[in-house]
Amino acid sequence: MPVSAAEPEVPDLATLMLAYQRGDVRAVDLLVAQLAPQLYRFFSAQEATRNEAEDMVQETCLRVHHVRHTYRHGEPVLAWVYGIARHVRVDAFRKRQRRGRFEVAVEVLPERAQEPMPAEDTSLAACLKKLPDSQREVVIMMKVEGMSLEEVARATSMSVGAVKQKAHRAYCALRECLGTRVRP
Amino acid sequence: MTCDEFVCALCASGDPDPLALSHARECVACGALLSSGPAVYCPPNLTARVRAQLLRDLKPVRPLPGNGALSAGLLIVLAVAVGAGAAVLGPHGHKELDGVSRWLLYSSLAAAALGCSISLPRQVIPGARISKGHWMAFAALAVFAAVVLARFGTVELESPFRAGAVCLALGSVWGSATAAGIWGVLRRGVWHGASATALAGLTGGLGGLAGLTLHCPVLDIWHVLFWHSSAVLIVTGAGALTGARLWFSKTP
Repeated sequence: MPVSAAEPEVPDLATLMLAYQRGDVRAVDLLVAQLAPQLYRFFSAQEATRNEAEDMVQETCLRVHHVRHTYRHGEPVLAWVYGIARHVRVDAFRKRQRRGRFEVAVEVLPERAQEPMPAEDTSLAACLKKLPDSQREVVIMMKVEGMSLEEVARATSMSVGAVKQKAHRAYCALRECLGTRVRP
Repeated sequence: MTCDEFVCALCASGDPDPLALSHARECVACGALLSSGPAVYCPPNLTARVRAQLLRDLKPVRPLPGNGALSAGLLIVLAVAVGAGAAVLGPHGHKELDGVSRWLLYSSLAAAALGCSISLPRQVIPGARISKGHWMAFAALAVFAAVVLARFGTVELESPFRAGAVCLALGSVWGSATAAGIWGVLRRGVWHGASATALAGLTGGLGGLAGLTLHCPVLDIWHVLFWHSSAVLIVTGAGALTGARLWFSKTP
């Protein structure tokens, strides 16, 4: 989509990060406005509830703030931010696991606000949810967030080859899942 | 206005400005998003809340130096720890070694140290390009063991257990001191999980092993392979446990 000429110039993320490291308030505004929706989208797609996704966005932004000195000019900003976001996701998973050990199952389930997703649901969201975590996160980073292979590899601490392989497997699984919808 | 900027504008303000409204009229996807309300895409006030938290403590920070400078810093710490320890305790092992063994052992230790020093800074910087340096370190340690097997013999010791225990304790302390120095260089990094601290322990343990190679005059195969190598394992294990413990206590 073309950008209108009258629109004010928004600095790129790397420039904003440098300004943020220098303590520029406007850079914080622009960075949060750009990154928070992306992070929310990333966490929402990872089987997190809305509240959990919000918490994780906040936690990620706080961690980004505390370790902002570890960003070096010239490095890809998204890979750095998503590297931290993955740490937050792993910690949230461990927290859920630990909390789960102290929970007691009830005999009668409460009424649900929403009907559970049917097993044969073949919408894209349902198919994404069926993917293993590592494949889903690669697909989201590449296809939803628009990150390059190199950036995804850096964010996930994998080699580019491993990212390609995970993406390929995810596409195959998605194609198979979505294919059931068009079959009679 | 692009679609991404449209979403950012929605999330930042909640109320779309005229520019965003005109974009929504042209773009079907953004129009649908606007009609479903901003809360569907980005919870209201999330960006405002985050912004307020960050501004509370906003001050200039000094970025970390590049990977090359950090690796050089680690190598300097290793060299200083090994050299200072050997100078204090005496380089008796160095004097016992012949020229070829010295060259082979020191080269393999240097290669292992180089591998660790390349890999370790990348472990504590989020989004850094991964490095295979630690595999180089493992390969170099295997070469070290092969050189010991090929060049050393068996030595009759009066009390092999006592001599071994002394070397193990000395190597562990030496390695731990080196690991502390390494942590000093990389203390501003992001130590998440046990793998980074285990690698820091391995690097420190290498310092202990190199120190023992310089200091210990016992050129017995099993003494070196068991007692000296155990010092590396102990410091690596201690590093991994420290990292896991810190991680466990930090995660709410």
